[in-house]
Amino acid sequence: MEAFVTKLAEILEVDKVEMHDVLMDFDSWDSLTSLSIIATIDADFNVNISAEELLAASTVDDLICLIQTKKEK
Amino acid sequence: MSSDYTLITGAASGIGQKIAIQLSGTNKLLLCDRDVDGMKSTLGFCNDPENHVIWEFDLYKITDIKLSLCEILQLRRIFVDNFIHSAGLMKVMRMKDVDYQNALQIFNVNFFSAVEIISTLLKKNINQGHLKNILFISAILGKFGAKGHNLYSATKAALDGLMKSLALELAPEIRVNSILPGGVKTPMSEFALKDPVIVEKFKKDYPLGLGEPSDIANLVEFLVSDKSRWITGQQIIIDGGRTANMSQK
Repeated sequence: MEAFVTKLAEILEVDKVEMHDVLMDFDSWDSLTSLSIIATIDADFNVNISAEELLAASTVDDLICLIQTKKEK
Repeated sequence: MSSDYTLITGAASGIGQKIAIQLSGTNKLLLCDRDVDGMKSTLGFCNDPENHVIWEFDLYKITDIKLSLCEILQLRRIFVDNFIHSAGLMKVMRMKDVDYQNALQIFNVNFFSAVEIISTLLKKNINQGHLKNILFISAILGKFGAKGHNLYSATKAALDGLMKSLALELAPEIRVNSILPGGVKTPMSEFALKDPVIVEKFKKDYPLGLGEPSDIANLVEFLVSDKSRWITGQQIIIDGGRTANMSQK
């Protein structure tokens, strides 16, 4: 997950993201950024997340939990 | 049935696979893809599988295309009369994430491979003037835009530009056309179609709904036949009414 958090920071164009950071609050957040995150999750974890699910996952921590829950299924 | 072969790239899945299956009753096929298992599966659905030839090749290896194509034509002692370029990579990314390397990858597969194949098939000492038809599976995204489809759109627009000039350069012996499909249910679109919000949006955007690979294969069948003998140099849109749709969403 550490590698994913680093990648998330790259996509969001910041040096570092914290677990409690709200995804939509990042300056670079837009529909294409969310698409890049979805594509990265699909490529790295083989987990499909819809745009709606991503929006519902408010923080970085929520997103990681979502990936883990979907991965276990 | 002609003794010449129809070369189909991207024949292991999606639209390319369906084109192969549909043409297999009337044409001998030279199937090209990097996925040999996928091509074997295509062959399994084809009429008379023994009539057709598999050319396992990754079109990303752009500098090896000519040699590999020459080898298979000479080894099998075959000529190609129809070339259908259906292979394509789709990458959705932000422009700020694009770099020369990922641009090169998608351009090699979607565009430069077609350039190398056509240039090879036009050589008299290799294909002896047998080529009669070139057909590109382009996309409506080559003519219109969509966020994040920067490179994909550019490769399809490049194919269509090439198509128009080749139609003039190679007439009257060879006809050259592009088919521009809208959204078709294939492995390429599978990722997006898992999202119910996107599926709902497509329902509004496409008056006739999303397309099936067979919709495209039917048009291909017409365009490689003599029934379309007076059509060349055209971008033919087949999209269930998507690009005609200016309705308020």
